[in-house]
Amino acid sequence: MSGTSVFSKGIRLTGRLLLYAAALFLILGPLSSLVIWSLAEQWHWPAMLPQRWGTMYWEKAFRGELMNSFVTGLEIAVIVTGVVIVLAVPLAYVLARFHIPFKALILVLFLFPQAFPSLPVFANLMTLFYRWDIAGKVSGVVLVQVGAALIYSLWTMVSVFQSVPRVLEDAAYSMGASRIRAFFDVSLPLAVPGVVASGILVFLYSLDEFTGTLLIGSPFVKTLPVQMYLSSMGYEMQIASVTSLIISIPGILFLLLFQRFLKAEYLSSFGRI
Amino acid sequence: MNYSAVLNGGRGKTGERLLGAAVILPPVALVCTEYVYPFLMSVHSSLLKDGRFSAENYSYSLSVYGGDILFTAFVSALSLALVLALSVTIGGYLTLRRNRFLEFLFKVPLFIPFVVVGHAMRTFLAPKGLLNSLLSQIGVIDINHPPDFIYGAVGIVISLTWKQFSFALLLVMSSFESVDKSYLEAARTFGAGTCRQILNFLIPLTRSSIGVTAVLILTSFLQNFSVVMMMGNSGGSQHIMVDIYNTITYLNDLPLANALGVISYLLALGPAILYLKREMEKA
Amino acid sequence: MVEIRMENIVKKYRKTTALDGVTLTLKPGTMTVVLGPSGCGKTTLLHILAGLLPADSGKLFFGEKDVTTLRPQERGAALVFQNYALWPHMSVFDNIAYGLRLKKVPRDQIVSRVDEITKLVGLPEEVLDSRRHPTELSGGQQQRVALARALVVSPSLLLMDEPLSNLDAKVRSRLRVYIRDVQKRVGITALYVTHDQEEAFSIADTVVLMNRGKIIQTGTSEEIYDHPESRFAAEFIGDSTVLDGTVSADGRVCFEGNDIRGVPIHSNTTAKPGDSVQIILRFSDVKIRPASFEPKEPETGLLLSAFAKEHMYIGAKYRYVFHFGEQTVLADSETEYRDEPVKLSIRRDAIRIYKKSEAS
Repeated sequence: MSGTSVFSKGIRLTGRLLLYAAALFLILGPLSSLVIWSLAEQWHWPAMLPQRWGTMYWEKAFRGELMNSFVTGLEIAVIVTGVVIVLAVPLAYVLARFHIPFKALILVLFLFPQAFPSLPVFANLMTLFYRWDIAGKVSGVVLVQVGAALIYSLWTMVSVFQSVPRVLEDAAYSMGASRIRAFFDVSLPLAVPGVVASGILVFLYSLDEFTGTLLIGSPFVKTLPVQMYLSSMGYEMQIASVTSLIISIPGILFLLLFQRFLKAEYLSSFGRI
Repeated sequence: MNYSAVLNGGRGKTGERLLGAAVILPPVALVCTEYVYPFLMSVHSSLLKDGRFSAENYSYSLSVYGGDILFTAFVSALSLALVLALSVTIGGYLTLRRNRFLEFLFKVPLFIPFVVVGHAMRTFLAPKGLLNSLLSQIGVIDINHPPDFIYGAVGIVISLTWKQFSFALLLVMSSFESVDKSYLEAARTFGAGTCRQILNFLIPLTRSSIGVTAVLILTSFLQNFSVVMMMGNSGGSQHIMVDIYNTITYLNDLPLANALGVISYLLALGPAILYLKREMEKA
Repeated sequence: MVEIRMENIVKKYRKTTALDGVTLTLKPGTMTVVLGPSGCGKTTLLHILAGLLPADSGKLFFGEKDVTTLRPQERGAALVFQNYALWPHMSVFDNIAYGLRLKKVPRDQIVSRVDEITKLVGLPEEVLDSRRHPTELSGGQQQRVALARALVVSPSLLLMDEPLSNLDAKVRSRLRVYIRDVQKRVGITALYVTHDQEEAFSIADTVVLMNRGKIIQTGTSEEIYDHPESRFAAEFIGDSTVLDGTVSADGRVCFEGNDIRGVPIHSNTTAKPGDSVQIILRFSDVKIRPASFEPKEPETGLLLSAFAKEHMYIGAKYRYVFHFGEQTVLADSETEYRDEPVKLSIRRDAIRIYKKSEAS
């Protein structure tokens, strides 16, 4: 705008840069700390940066248990995502389209795992699982994660199905299609983006899940988060940092690719039934 | 218009009902067995002492762990206050003056899992960590006596705030953006600056969304396990989740752990109920 | 009240030019109506005047003060929005009082000012009851509150952005008279934007016709309506019909074989025989006469013989459709003509002719 002096523009620019620098430091500071630690072969206080850099710990981590944990975590995530989608999508459709008694109650039920502290719940679940012989096994961990993750897929898919125009299904009915056929031929294809989005949410949730895996899966089932926790508490800072970075990669990838989808419109009715 | 029913002449009804039940029951049964039932189990178990019904576990919890319960509530409330203050102010500014760089940057913590946040903060905030070495370079602290951030409330509050600020910002900004722009334009024409637009308009008009966000985030703090395990005080006050874990793993006293668990449920439930009550009263 | 002056205001949005060098003066205490089709730039102009949007170049003066870079409240402009923009979380009283509160006017003065203004805009006192919220009021009442809110801060310029278009027809016509009345009583300089011609003509001291970011014509309501100076104006104002004609061998303009007499081609360009022209006239000016009608020279510019058959009743009038070659002429009459020959006569001062290639 005409009339602003160069001086005040300069002040504004400096202020802006300071603001950006502060934000960068606060947000990326802890993360850069991880990166530095993962590459630190020799680091003695009080030097600000490691004396010797190298990828030694990355190699060590990969040769160690890390790969196993990584694969286990991946396996579990894939299974959990599959099961959640198979369970949640038809349920979401039924809830979206039909008059179900206690519909609101059912939707809120899936909030339960996230609403209450899961640690005591898992503690008791462990005894049940021991009885059914699924504690310490992948199946146990999968079951626990599915229960908690259903909400992500269910709530998303309910609003996705509600936005598919009913008239399209009615058109199919009027040509003689049964409800099931109309679902597979019309509703589901149109809802695919929602299925993909909620699938990604569930996948990420499973990869990062810690408490349930620690309690139900120990001591045999180890995913990356559990591995990282053990290394960190054991003061193997470099290994733990390497593991942390690997855990973070899927999340960052998702952020870079899909951050456009985290838009205001999609989230403004979050939490409202 | 229920074409399907019309075409099937109503015969499909029972078949449909069965199919509906087959779709609804498995997930519902799963969550009930895995979460609702153990929840009830923990209430039951907490009332047992040596095989008899008694409230001893509760009295023991309150007397021995009372300090930790308060600590948990304090740390959660403080983190919530910080998260709300930051997300509402920054969210307000970003809604009124878009800034894609900051908006992207502030989304980053959302995608870092709590476990990683815990470890990252351990390296960053440790007595010999990155933050302190930077501060000592600038000369703010003494190299030989670096302050200790990670153990105790400070480390926990910083970690929890860092991570959930991102989530809160997302939710708060999305409800700010749904406010009709003409309300803000009208406010501007009467002389309302950015600060007033946030205080007098954005916040009052999105109060219930902010309330939902606050409840969700408070519950996530009250039940957090990974961060508090990694940042806890080895001698002083602990987050209640750490106590529960130790009671199970080292003391093997499930009823006591469950008593603590039920107390934590009440802590988590309290704000939610308060919030719902207020919403009901408004309606 | 001061004179409001705009000098060469330009505003571009990426590749589109919303305002292409608009220069306009608003005389103190007058109601100027900006009329134009959607996209002509009238809303952009309003927002720039209000201070919500900065102009790319040009200057804005309120009296002697250069307000080009000032914020809305600093320049003294108040805006009444199309959708009222009354804040739903504040009571009616707080809505109206907000501007005064920001100016830190003492509480008792606020109460008396708001009271005064509420009476001025014709709202009942109960509306100021502390629990009354805008959503409880009717559309017409809400618009009055919006007007009150704008007037209570004693602005130098009152801006109104199609304030009545969200209301139904009866309320609209009543309220427009009231708004005009209030404006005159307060003596405030006002700029009113609308796409509704009847509304524009009925309340304006000055009408400004805009199209594609430019001012096409300025004048009183009668001047604009009776003497449109461009093809765009002729087409846009009133219920006009555009017909194709040609220049005959002896230099006369001809419509489907009928000569048009005494009407010059606009801007006096010499037309060559065979040139195409466009004839613009309003079908309210097409008078249906019985077949025996003999025109009174020299008023008649065009006389057509036709057969009255196709018609519809539009309540109080019949609308007739006449075909000439491929072209259609519409005309209204209170008389019903059934299956009989008639004559259509159009006065020469109601006809405007433009060469076909002329852009508006």
